[in-house]
Amino acid sequence: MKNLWTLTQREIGGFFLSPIAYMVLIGMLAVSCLNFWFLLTELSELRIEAAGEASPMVRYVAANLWFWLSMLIMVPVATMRLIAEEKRSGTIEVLMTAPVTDLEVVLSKFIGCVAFYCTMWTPSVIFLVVLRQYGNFEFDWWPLYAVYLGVFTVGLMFLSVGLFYSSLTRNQIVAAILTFATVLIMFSTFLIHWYLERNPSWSAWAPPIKYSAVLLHLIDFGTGKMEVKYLAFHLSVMVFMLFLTTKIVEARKWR
Amino acid sequence: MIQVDRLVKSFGSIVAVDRISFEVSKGEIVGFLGPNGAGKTTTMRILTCFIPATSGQAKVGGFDVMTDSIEVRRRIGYLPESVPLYGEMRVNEYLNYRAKLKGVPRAERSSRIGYVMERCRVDDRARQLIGTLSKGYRQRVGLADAMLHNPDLLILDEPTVGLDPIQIRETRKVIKELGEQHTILLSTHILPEVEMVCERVMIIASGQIKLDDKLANLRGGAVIHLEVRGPQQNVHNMLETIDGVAGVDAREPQDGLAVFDVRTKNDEDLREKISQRVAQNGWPIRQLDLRQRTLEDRFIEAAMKVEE
Repeated sequence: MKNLWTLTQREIGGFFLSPIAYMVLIGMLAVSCLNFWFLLTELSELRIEAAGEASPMVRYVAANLWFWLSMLIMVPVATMRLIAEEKRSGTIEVLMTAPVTDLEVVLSKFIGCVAFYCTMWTPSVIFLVVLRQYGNFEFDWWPLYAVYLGVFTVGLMFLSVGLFYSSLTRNQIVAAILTFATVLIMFSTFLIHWYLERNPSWSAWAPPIKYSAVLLHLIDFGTGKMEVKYLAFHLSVMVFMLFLTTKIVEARKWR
Repeated sequence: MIQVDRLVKSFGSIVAVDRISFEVSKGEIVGFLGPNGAGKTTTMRILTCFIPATSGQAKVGGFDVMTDSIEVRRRIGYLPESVPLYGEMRVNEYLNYRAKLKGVPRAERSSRIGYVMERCRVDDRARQLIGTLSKGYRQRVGLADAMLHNPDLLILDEPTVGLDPIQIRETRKVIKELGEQHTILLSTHILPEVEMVCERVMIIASGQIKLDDKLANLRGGAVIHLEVRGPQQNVHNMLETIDGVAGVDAREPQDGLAVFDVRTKNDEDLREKISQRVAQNGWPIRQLDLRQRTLEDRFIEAAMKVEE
């Protein structure tokens, strides 16, 4: 595992040496700004919150359309090139003939894109700090910790899925579209869940479907219902996907 | 250094490497020669642990490529055919990254990088982005990378393809110098390159080794070319009865003349004997000369043998 740090450094470097990274970061900054503006508008209007509803703070972080649109675009963009590009350009041959293990390579790529993902989220956090420091608005940090933790683990899950697709192909576009489709499906299952919950004959199916309705996890986290089973779900999908990716990278040896 | 035993690699129904066995001992420079698609790259990829063999065994420095892959990879420097590099990195950054991966100790790293850059003459481009380098420089960066950790064995897949004549000459010089300290397995389809650089030649065609010998032995083979006016079959039979003749190859008749290439035992010069015997039979000779067999003849012979 001593090569892991070397490889990860290169992966992170690789992100910030490509123009796409800056486009994504600027896009994410714009989305954060927009959300922050919505938040300020909402906070300046007097309004009574209903119980169980996502608070404006939670909506600011995760329960809004912009968040999901940006996830839909950022995750595929961040993961599509990871392994597909190495395969296309042939650098995988130089990489794999160096004394490094397949797992080290996969993990370094994953850590690299997680680091990038976290960078994407920093503006959103900084805005909140500013709001508290200079806006003299005393909000409760704890639900926000929970939501950000949720955003992080959901990110881990989606990024691992993207990494897996990237290992399947040498075409970045294919990897991006597959990732996009998967994230879209996991996003839209909350509609299925909504339908099942309201339909008495199907309501038994609602809890299992809720596992893939990631949006609902984040709203739950933000309203104080922090359920470890959903965190465990995100992390176990991540572990499984990383395992599969390692096997796919190894699979060149089975042919 | 390398032991390969009945190595087979098939891709589906296509057999790329078909039961090859060979050994390379320490310090040898071996030229791996063959037409395109003969299985050179596949063999090299197996030796560098990039792909596994379908069956058979390959060992590098006593370690099996399948079971001790990491140990094998520590001992080889590999320059793949297309020289894939990260275009967004600078030359010195890239070499530093590779040195770390290959476990060059921190204290030696910068001196080692300086040494290989100077050796491969890329030191004037140390701060340049690899993506903007010309093909020749990329090739040299690849070579610098391959020798970075001072490996026992260098595996170079067509190291001079795409270079201009001056670069080719320089690269060959570097390889030859490297051969003083390292074992080198070099693949190419450029024959003069082998003659200049290698001590030993392996010719591979259709996945099989057709020839494996010291270059000195291959060069020596001489053949006597004979053009004579006479009945082909009779001349053929007569030639075979001459002492010291190893074999007679009939060639396409020209202008009604029978044409033969006579191979002799121990490369003996039999021109006088042959002319005497032909004259005794009263057949006029048009041409009789001794021709050195070039590596090219041997190469084409070996490659053609398969197609027949």
